[in-house]
Amino acid sequence: MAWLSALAGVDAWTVAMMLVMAGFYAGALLAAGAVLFRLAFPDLPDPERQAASRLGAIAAWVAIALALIEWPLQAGYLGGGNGAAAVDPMLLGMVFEGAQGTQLILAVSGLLLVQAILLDARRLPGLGHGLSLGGVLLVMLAFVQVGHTVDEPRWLLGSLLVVHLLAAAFWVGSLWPLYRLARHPPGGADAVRILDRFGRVAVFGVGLLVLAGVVLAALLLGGVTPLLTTGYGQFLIGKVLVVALLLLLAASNKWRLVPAFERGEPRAPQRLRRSIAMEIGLVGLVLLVTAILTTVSSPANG
Amino acid sequence: MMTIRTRNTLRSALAALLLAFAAPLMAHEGEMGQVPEDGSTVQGTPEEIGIHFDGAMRITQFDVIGPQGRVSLENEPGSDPTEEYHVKPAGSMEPGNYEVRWRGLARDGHMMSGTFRFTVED
Ligand SMILES: [Cu+2]
Repeated sequence: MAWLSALAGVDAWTVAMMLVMAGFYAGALLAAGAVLFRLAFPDLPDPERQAASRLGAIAAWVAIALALIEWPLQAGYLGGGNGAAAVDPMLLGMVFEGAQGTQLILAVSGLLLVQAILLDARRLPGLGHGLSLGGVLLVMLAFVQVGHTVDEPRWLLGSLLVVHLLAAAFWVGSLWPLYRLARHPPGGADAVRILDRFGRVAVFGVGLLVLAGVVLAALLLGGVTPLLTTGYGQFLIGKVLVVALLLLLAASNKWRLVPAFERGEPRAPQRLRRSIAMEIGLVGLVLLVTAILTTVSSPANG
Repeated sequence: MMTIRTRNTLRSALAALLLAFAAPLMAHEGEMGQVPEDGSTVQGTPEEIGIHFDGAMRITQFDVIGPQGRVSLENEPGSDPTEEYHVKPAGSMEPGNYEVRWRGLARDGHMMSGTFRFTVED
């Protein structure tokens, strides 16, 4: 199995690089998602709005820290996976001058701008939204600096990745506010209104996410054979399976649990929350597989 | 809610798009070959050891490991982008099995690594 042999050559250094990368993905998507979620639901009840902003701001700081940790980890990897190489000025400089450095600068400045999400609390809604949305755009640009989306046709590949990431961020960013909303007394008016509208927005969001992901994967892989024979293709299948599980959960929320919640069934809030918690776990798994896809393997060399 | 009709339209559009792009894209620099070739046997100390790529790579690690540990090399070509990376052994190499471990940075920011092996005979 190609995926096993791809993992067999992995040392502790690479595992650390992968875990930090997965954490960075989670933080950056959560931060961007908080901005998007607040924009899509301006009528969130106050406590939920503040909770979403706070989580977004914390996630942005975590992502900044992880992006800065990833830099010496990458330098260390290039020098053979050791601490001396991680602080080697030549290797650190090489990483910084390259595509990773551009990604680092864009990601850190974008995530700093996302902090403007907190401005709203001080009654500057327009400015807060504008700045934090600018931050989201910079974070998205950061993601298209490294990897095979820089190949031609660059605009098409980059746009597909950005659409895929925006939809993913919106989904990831919605989980915590929805989890909190589901704690409201069953049938509570605010919760019902927002859960209902989320269900309608999410159908399109998830559609975009899957569509952009499938087209992107087809472009990068260039056929069905590499999907089955390369490590990259096999990890991709794994990712698709976890996403399919996530979609099942989301569908059951939309068509079963949320209607039960709206009817005020007493056990519905608890079941809805358990389901969202499981979604959070699966999202973590998807991000981990994605980090393996982008660091250990590549569509080119298996 | 999406109707069955829009769903079918979407599905056929997606299928058309996939067919249109079924040819593989140019991926980044790949390994083209090794000197001495992976798995080969050479008589005596090879004049040079190296790899070549189909695009510019920045090699950041290139260790030749044999029965006596790491082989000392006469030149260190540095990590400027190159398609051809070659080193010369500083002295004669003992007969035995050798492994080359390399790492490098591709133009697209991907960090690459690889190994190849060869045998030195008297
Ligand atoms: Cu690459």
